[in-house]
Amino acid sequence: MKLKSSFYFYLSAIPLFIFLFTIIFITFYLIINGYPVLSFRFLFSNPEEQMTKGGIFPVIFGSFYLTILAFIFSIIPSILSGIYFAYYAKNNILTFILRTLIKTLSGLPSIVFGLFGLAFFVRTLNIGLSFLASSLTLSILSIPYLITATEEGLLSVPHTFYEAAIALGVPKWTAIRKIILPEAKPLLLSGIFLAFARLIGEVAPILFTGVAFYLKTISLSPFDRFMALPYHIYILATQHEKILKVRTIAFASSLVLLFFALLFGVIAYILRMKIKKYY
Amino acid sequence: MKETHRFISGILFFFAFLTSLLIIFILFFLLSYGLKIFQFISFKDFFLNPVWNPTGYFKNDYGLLPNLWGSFLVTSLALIIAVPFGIFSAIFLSEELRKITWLYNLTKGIIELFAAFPSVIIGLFGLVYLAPLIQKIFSLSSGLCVLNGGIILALMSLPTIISLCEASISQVPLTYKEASYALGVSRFQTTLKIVLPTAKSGIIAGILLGFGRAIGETMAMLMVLGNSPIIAKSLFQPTRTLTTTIAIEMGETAKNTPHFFALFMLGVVLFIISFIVNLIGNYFAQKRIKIII
Amino acid sequence: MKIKIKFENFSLWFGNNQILKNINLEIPEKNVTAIMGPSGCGKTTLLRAINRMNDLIPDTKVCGKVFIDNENIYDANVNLLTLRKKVGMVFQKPNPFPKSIYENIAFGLKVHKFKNIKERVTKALIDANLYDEVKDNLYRSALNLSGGQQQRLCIARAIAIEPEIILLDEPASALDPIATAKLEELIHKLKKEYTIVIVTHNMQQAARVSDYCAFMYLGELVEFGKTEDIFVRPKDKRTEDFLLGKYG
Repeated sequence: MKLKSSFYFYLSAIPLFIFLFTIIFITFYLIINGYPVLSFRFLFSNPEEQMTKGGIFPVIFGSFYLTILAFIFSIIPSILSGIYFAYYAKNNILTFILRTLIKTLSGLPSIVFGLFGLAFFVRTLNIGLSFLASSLTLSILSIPYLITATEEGLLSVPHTFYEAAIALGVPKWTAIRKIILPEAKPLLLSGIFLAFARLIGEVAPILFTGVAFYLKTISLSPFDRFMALPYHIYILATQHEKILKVRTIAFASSLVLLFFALLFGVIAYILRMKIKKYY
Repeated sequence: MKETHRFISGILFFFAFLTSLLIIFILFFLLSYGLKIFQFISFKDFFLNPVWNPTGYFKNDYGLLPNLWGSFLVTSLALIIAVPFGIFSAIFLSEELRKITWLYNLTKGIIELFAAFPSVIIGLFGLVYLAPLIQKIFSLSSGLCVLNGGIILALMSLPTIISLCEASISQVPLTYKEASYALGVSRFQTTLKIVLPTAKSGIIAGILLGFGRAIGETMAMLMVLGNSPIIAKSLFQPTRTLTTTIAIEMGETAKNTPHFFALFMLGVVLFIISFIVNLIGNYFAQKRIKIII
Repeated sequence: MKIKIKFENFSLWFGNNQILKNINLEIPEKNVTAIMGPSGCGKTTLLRAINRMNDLIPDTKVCGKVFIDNENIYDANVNLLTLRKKVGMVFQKPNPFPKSIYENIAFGLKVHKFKNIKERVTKALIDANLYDEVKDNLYRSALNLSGGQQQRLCIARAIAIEPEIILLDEPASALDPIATAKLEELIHKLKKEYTIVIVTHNMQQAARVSDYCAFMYLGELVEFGKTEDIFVRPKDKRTEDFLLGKYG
């Protein structure tokens, strides 16, 4: 009887093993195909001859500039909202509605954000196709993640610290800022890194708001168009005229993008592991 | 002191209110462009038209149906693959693998990291590896088809499904299981008959939120579906979805044309589907928490 | 004997649940008053009513008055920060901030804009009988201290900002007997300067440390009087049963 039962359990392991195997297979497939092209030069030089040669430096630069700019817009409103939900919101119907709206926002398809960015930032505010329009669009995408991360971080700090501070006659805001927030920092940072890992791979939100396939120079102006790593991969893989010739570059670029996404993902994971046990 | 407190809570509420309203703001702007399509064509010509041909020679068609059909076909296929995979993976994770902590953590870590894989990368894999494979196995003219899209989407929605199912399965109280063991029911039977029904809400939440993630996927679908405007009748035909149509054609169309507005209207439809699915999914996710605690 | 805290027809609800029922109680100044009773009788809630910590719990309703020095602390215009500065509190489980020992005490001092913070920190530690044990490690994390030391640090943190009343919510429940003895010794010393209210379900402890004793049962104040009177000649049957250990 017992043997039979565990036999079924091992049978139920097969789907998981197939899934894990596929994940590892995809990763190695990318590494094997992309690694030969990777070099210091590839990372730090400009593309040449219609992207068939040279490196991808401006593309990497564009992705980081874009994502960092997006966080500059979203981080403060998100943290303040997270503090509100964790410590100030009353348990009533209004709070319930606001929370539900934010949760639903996080499930919205990214192409919808792209359409909104086109309608609002590019056209209504007349910012034009640019870093600015794209990063504002991305910043909206990141807001629900960051709010959830803030709330989770704050609530992971034992309530007894808050009570101790309040019992000392410390104002609520001071208690949160001086006692709770510093302790919530690892989880908060973890959430920020995770959001960064997600954002850096997004294409749909920037598709209509400013990304370009090929630009001769790197621009620092937020009103200029830009190149971005995931879009670059998409074009190389599907639209380029010498599609087979640039395939290795597409793989190498994918490897670079994957490296960054996983790097930030792993940092987030490690920070999450560092949550303190107080008692 | 009271004034400072009021001032601070006011500011915090202001930001929470603002960020919550973003989604309504988004819908408003999508509608403000999308609804303009009905100045050019009737509701029927949009919602019931089986043809999407925005650049026809004699007549332009902006039918929702081919796009909607494509989306549902690919997403359903993805769920047919991913749901059993997800549930069994979750069972094995929480009932067996949990005993070996390091292996459990490693597996969870890999799955979590896979969720962070950019979709263009998975799309690239579908395009360069999976498509030729499908083409060869089924001797097709192209491997860019519904089947390819379904497999890729299944992969992409699995992390969501597994993590929600696993969380709710592992929250089933031990006492339930012990009661079943005491009756001489085997562990696996107990899992199927006691644990799964108890964890039902979380599993439904996982499936719905996985569906929500799948139907909104854009870039990977753009790369593996073949993007044909016809209504696909088999798994081996190319198709298009709500998301891919918007992504491809928005860049090529002139502003303020019927085509431009029709694409926004597709966005509105996508918004509404995803909004409803997420709303119900989050309801079930919430319900799970309430039952257990 | 001067009355420091006075409950007048005080009732309290969490949602629809009445936790305190029409409490009338007068707590004398510079004495130790113990509140006893079986678990769930509302003694902690009664204690937390004195510095209005119950306000943190959503859906709390109160009716009646609580006076401290003849001022009703449930008046609409009461400044809660001033109230809580005047009424210090020590919790069931030691809860020092996850900061250094020094910072734990200095935090409240800084918020309330005291001067000579360093001297005050030292004095608070001396008064809490902790200074000799930690003087070389002032800048180490308070979380490294033993439970008993942590609890005395919490007392030091509370008395540093010069309260008049100290509330102790089962302060020894997480401590071993030796740490408990040290804590009780400290309570004895502190009552010369502060009005102390201590919640405990441990009768022996109440008998050892308190001058006055209140017995609560199911949200009601059953009996109040001098400790020796209550322990020797309880007037109410329920008090007697409790003292005989019938409520467990």
